Amino acid sequence: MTKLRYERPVIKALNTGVTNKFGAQQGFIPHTHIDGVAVKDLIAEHGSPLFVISEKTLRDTYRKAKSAFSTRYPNVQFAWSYKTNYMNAVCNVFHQEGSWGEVVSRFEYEKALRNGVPGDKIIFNGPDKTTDDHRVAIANGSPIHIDHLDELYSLIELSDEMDKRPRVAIRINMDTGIQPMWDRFGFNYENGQAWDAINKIMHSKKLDLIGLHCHIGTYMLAAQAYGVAASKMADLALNIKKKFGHSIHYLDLGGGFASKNTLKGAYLSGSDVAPTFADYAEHISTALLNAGFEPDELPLLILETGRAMVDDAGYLLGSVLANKRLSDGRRATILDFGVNLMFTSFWYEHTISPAQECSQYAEDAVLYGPLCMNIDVIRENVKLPPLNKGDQVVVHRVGAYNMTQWMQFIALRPRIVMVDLDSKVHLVRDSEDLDYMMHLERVPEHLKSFEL
Amino acid sequence: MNIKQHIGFYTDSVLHSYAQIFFSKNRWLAVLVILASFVNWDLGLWGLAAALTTNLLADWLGFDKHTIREGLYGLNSLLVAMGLALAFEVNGQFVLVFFSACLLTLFLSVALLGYLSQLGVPFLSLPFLLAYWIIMLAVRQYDALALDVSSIYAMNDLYRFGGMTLVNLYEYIHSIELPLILDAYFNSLAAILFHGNIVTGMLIAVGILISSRIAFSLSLVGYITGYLFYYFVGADMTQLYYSYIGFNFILSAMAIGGFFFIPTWKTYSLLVILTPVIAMLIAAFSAIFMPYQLPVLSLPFAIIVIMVIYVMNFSTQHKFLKVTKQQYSPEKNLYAYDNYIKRFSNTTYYQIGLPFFGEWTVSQGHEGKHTHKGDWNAAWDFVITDDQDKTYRDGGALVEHFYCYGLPVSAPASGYVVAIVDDVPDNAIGDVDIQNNWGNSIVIKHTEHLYTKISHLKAGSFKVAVGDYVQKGKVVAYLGNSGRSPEPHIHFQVQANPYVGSKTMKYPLAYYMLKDDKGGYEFKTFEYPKEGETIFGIKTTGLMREAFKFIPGQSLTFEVEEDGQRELVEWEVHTNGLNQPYLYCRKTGSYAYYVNDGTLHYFTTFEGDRNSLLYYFYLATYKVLLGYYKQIDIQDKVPLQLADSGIGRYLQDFIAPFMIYRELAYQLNYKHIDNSMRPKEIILETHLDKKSFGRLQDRLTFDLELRENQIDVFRIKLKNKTIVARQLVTSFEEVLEVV
Repeated sequence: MTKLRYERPVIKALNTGVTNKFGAQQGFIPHTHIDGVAVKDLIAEHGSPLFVISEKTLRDTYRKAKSAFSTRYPNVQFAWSYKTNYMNAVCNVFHQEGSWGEVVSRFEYEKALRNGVPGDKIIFNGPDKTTDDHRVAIANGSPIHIDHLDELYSLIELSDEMDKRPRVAIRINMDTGIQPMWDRFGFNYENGQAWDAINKIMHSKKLDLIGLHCHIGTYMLAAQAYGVAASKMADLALNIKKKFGHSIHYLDLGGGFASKNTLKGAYLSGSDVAPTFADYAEHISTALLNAGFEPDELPLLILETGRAMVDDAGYLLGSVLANKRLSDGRRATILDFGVNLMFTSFWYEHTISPAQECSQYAEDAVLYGPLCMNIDVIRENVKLPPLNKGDQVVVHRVGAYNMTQWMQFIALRPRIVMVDLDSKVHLVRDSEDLDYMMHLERVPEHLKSFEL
Repeated sequence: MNIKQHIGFYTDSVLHSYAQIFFSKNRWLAVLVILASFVNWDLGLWGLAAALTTNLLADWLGFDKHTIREGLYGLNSLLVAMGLALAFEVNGQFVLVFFSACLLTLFLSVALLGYLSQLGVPFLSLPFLLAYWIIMLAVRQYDALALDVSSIYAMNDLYRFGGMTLVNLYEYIHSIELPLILDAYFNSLAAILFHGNIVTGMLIAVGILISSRIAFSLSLVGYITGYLFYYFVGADMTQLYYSYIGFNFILSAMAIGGFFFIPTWKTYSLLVILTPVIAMLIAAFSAIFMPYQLPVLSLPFAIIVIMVIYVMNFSTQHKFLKVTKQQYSPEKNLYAYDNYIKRFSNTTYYQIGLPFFGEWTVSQGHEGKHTHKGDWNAAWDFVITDDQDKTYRDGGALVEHFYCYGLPVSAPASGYVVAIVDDVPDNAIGDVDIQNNWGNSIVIKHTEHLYTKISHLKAGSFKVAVGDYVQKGKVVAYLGNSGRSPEPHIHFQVQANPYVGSKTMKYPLAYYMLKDDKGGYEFKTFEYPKEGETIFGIKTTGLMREAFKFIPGQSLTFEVEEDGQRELVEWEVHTNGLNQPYLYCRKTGSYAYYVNDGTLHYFTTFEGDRNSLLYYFYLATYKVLLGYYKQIDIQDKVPLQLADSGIGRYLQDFIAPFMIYRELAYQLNYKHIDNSMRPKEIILETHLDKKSFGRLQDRLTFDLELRENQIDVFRIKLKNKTIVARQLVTSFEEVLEVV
């Protein structure tokens, strides 16, 4: 018989029922395995902390999204948003499933090319494109999404210089009834900027206007807003057809679909309030199908959803470094990962589960990261069973943005592994070491030596 | 018609008159039969005169030109004339009788053709028989007609025709010791033309062999069976060739075994078991005709063939397939039929697509376990499944948990909405509403007697009203769970009547992709999705649609480069009386019939010059799916008679009714597309593989480069050279003229 685990006693108010006004109870159920692989084995093999990506969840999520849209609209294409997670293994899972690429910098663009995405299937978005970036994108036939007039003028000049017709779309921003309204990207629909840009493109006769793009926000909890956006985009496309006799090939509704993470300060948990893919698809496709396109002239619907596609597939495993009591009597637990690895902890109240057996008695606690910085707080207030030094935890839904926005700050960045469909574990990014960090550094000759 | 056309018309009609005796339109056969008939000078001359006179008469009297050209009127007359020329000496009276005989035979031919074609049977040699007997009975009264004995001595004619050399040749051939059975066979063939020598028979036999291997083998099988039967029953062998009856076995075999029916082992068996019947008919009719001193001639053949063709109309099993489009060659009929069955056995005139977007799975197919039974068996139920083959998430207790609930349902083909039911509430999961079995439904009329019905929709979700015209792909309503529906699913059926409760009609779905286990997919044409299959609709590509869109009146001009030489080739786009479009190359007189239904371009048949660019184009674009699908190959089979030739093909012909081991396999690969949204350049590569017993023998490769909404470059890669054809800008002048 193994020795029973010790858990120190706690005193707390009785909390009955399944759900109260603070949402579903969470954090009590130990999460010992990820796709059939034990958490403790993963940490033993690859160290702590450790990012784990589930290939099965990636594919399942993609297929759910694809089915939701393609069963409602006959002409759908997904484009993987590189900035959300550009680990090559992750990108290639989506490319294998049929996704194109959507990039917002030359670095991401080159990465997509190197992954083998054909140039005409890489959508080049964002405000950051140099003339040289444009030149490469034009040569590859990539759709370029124009963000501002300066970019438009630059493309017209380049088309003369290169004697090629760039394939472009313009990014539209609009009022879809939600706050805050994103108006820093693209051209505004309501005040006529969008038409101004369209007129300039069509009259220049130098560019192929193949699409219209919008991206109305991020973590959008109101699926209706997409319906409004789709209607306005369709309206533009139909009027371009009317005015210029030119048919738009695609409408890119961008991304911004909410994942099941809970936003800070949200009244109910994300899994209860976030719309499903079906909800978004319903509003978008209904708006497009009813917009008045002829059935055989329906534009291709492109979706760049990143967060909702990848968040669920990412886990962060970590270990308890220490427990301590704060001055006000609250309990504090220090973990071996912090905001350096979990950028999203600034936005989300991440679900964190213990990775080993525990009782159902939970206690309020603050979770701190290991950084010697006051801001390094993972959760300001979380109910968790008391954890001991060396205990392991699993943070859920960290697939989006963390593996691209993480910081090499104070500590080195850990490994990333992927669990495949047969529960085999693959290393997809190794941990950083001192050599890797020093590799780029140059020390001036006179600073190379010192004596203490 | 100008002089040249007149000459062509009468040449055709006379040649066909001869070839038709042996169920063919082959010119070589016709020439050989004419030559054979001239072994007896008088017979040859009067036969030819009769064919020409009858066709002239028929044309003058205004009978159908097509029938005249086919040789159907001349055929019987020339036989009558030969019979008369054999019996009587040629003098003034004979010429009068000859002319009357032509007129009488023509009238009998027209009358019998008119009457018998209503019964769906041919007239064969009936006009000849009737006319011949009538005249033979009548002329007994005319003393001025003298019986002729000279024609018995064939050598007199031969001498007159070709001098001593020909006589010596004739003598030499006759001196060859042939086995009795072969000797009798040649004599029987000769007897069809009232000749009594083996040279005539040999010439005819060679003609038959050239025109058709199957017909030749049938003539032998028919004759030998008859011969063996006589031998077996101990009948008089010699009568087989002295009294003009052996050919009954030959002609019956050719007609039943391979001309009026598609030749198979079944038709060969049928003609073998019919042999005793023919023999009995011969004996019986001989007894009847004896008192009148009339020969039976080919009456038994005519009776048995007409009877078999008529009787087989009443067979409910299609063991013996009547030839519907007669190509005057058993080989062509067989290969065309075989190919047709493989390509188009399910093809329907009207195309029904899928009533949904995206991938759906058939949860109940035709003859299903649950409800697709009896009169309502030809229906499909569609659901959406996930990786675990579940149709729902979150436990599946509510309709909203089901993946397909609330999804749009679209028109499977264009048509008018004729019925809508829109007042049945959704069931709870597991519940069924037997009172309103079909639930909320829509019936769309596509054409007369062709309707589709979609059921179990959501009340209040209809986007169309009764009387609306809906285009294919338009959303008509959203899926609910009404009627006899324990869980949300689309019920889809084709029916012949406009009512919601109508029974189903078995009708294939025109085009769809079938997903396989490995994530790939397969292109399906006119098939019935089966239970458990996951399918989705086809998307076509604009550039491919445009490149293969040939408008009647338009002409396509290619600059062809071959061996450093350049020439212009022009094709015209026309439609025939049945509104079937075809490409026509005036210079080579070639036709290629095609079908383009918006999803698929394919050729149905080709006639003309096999070295023409049009012929290569026919092979290169035999079947093109007008959507770009990199992962799939389009495959098809080209019928042997349209692209196979040489010794190998001749050998194949002999056993074709029993086994077809040669094949011409067509394959199309999608090579390149410059961008997948609105491509400006697409390259296709197609192959035609000649295979024997499945082994590759020869391969033709073609490249097609599509640009500027047309077939820009067409490349033919032959073994020793490449022919490059570049299309010049399409001319629409003629189109405008037509408008």
